[in-house]
Amino acid sequence: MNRLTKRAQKILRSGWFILLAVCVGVYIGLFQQEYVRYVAPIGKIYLDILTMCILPILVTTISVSIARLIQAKGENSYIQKMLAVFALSIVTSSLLGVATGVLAHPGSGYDEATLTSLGSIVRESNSADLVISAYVPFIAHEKKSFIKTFVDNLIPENIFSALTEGSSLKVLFFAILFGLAVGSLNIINSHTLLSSLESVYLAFSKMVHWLMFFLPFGLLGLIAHDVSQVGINALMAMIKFVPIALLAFMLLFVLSSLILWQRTGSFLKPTLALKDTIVMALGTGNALACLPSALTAMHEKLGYDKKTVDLLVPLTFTICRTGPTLYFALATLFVAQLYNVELNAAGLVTVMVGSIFAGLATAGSSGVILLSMLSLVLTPLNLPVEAVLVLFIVIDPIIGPFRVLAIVHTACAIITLILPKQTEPVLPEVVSDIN
Amino acid sequence: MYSQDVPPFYYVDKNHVLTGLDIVLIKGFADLLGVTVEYDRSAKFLDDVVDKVEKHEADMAICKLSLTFDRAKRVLFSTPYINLHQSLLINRLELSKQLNGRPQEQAIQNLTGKIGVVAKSSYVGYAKYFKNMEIVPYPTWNEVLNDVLAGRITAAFRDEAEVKLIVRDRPDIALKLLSVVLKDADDPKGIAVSFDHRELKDLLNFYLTSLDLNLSADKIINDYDNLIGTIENKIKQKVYQ
Repeated sequence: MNRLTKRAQKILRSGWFILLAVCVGVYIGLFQQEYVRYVAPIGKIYLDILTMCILPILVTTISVSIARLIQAKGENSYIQKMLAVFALSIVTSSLLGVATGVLAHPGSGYDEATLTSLGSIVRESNSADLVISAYVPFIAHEKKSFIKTFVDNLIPENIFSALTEGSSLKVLFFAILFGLAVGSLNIINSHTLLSSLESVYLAFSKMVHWLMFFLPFGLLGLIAHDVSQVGINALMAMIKFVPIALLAFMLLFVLSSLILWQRTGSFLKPTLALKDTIVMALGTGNALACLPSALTAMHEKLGYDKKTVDLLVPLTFTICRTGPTLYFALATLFVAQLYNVELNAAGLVTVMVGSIFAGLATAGSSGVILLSMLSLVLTPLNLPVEAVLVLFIVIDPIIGPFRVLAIVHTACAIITLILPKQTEPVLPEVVSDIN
Repeated sequence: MYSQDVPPFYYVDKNHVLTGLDIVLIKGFADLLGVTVEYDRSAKFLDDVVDKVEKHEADMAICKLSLTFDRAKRVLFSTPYINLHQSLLINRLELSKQLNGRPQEQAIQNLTGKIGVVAKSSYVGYAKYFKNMEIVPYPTWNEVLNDVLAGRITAAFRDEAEVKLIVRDRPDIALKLLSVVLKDADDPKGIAVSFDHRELKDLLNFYLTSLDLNLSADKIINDYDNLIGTIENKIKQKVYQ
């Protein structure tokens, strides 16, 4: 019996089985859409259970690792290095986005037929875009400044409401403060709390570990649903932009892979270690859902120190928004080309700076809210936002997962840059506890 | 009647037949009177149509004609058979240059730049409401459209029906132009007769009221065939009573 379970586990976790699930998911999403309503709930339940475990893991890993780091003293020299590497990688991403946009021209050369199908997407019905009063002056809601929006997103008024709303940035902020506070208590006072928090973390990791066995089924449902959501018309209209965007993400992926290769001394090892994370990113399109597998990969499989990994991985995922930054830079060039607006050197610098800010503003958000941050880049350039935003929303079921992949994969590469280069594997501490 | 085609109000269709809502209405009226209609489409501009009626060169003018105070001083108008709203097609790129951190609505109410209208039409007068804009008259609506698309003018200004027709038929320009309906700026359309034909006006009013039309731009643009069918049935019933 035990051997049978082991065997089943091995099959469920094998790459081939996952690949098969993905293929079946794509097939159902494209050609057997009547089955989508049966498999989609499986995907949703899977993702719900997974995200259920994420916030506790986020809070416990960060608080515990910060507290332990403070107690260990002197080991926080990498904070400065971390900020430098973050800045460097975000600038690189925006540069990559701008360069792809300039070289590949995703937004120029559209003929009338394509413009017609693009327009049909923008124009939802036959009614006017806007119905307003001519005589009664419009009272504008006061607009929040970028700093205020960011601060509002960062500091929770009530930690429990932040947890219920799943605002990851607020939770992150709380966890850091809490970790700092616990770390500055004396060891006798904090010992029990820390070990309890650690047990909480281990329990949730265990749940995620179990969940990984059902990943193929979850993926099948999620992918079938996502694929069925992509409008073929939208895809055909954006046929020039989508492949270029995917290519840009691919370039970032290759770049991160090269960094991982250089820092770990092996090409295959990090790729295999991050296999689950990559699959999760593409399957769920949710960066935080990749957190547990990335933690496992970095600590258990690549042998980085647990405390530091536990702190750096969630931080990098939420703050270092390489994927959105790259996407915003590329999307802005697409819009400028679509409206025949020539951008000079100063304009391109504005795109870079704007997309970095817009990327920062997406910390902790996803979906349509994330895309709406595009206005932070387009507005300073006097480019229209509303009409094109619709285009980006309709193609996001395809782009989203790759953007998340860019975030999590680059994050892992960034962490290897922050931490000392590996010479020989360090023995993991708590592997036995997790498995 | 105005020389340019204005579908779906009056236009020459594929079979070279003059048709449209205005044609159906006036034919029905003529049938009730037992006369035939002769169309004079020589008017180059909409204001010329009013001139013709004033000078008795035509008995009536029906061509989606706006009922304005200036015109009402010169000719009689029937009660409006449709009340459209004044509407804008704004070049999105030009608008976003004028935003300066304001919401779209506010920028549109204080629009600057050039506003294109059809020359010698009611919209030359309506456009004066936009104090900060230079009014540019064009011989035809198509020329207004081309220039707003190219960004040579900021906005094109005409009634809701024209704007919604473009929204429906030209999806290729949806990315370039923003369509805006000004919900409280009315543009009532009536039938003009000369001051000596008061009885004709009363008959027209009686005819229009008894048809109980309840027209709107959306009905005409998006449900034209049903609407015309209903009106024709109502007219038939009136004729044979």
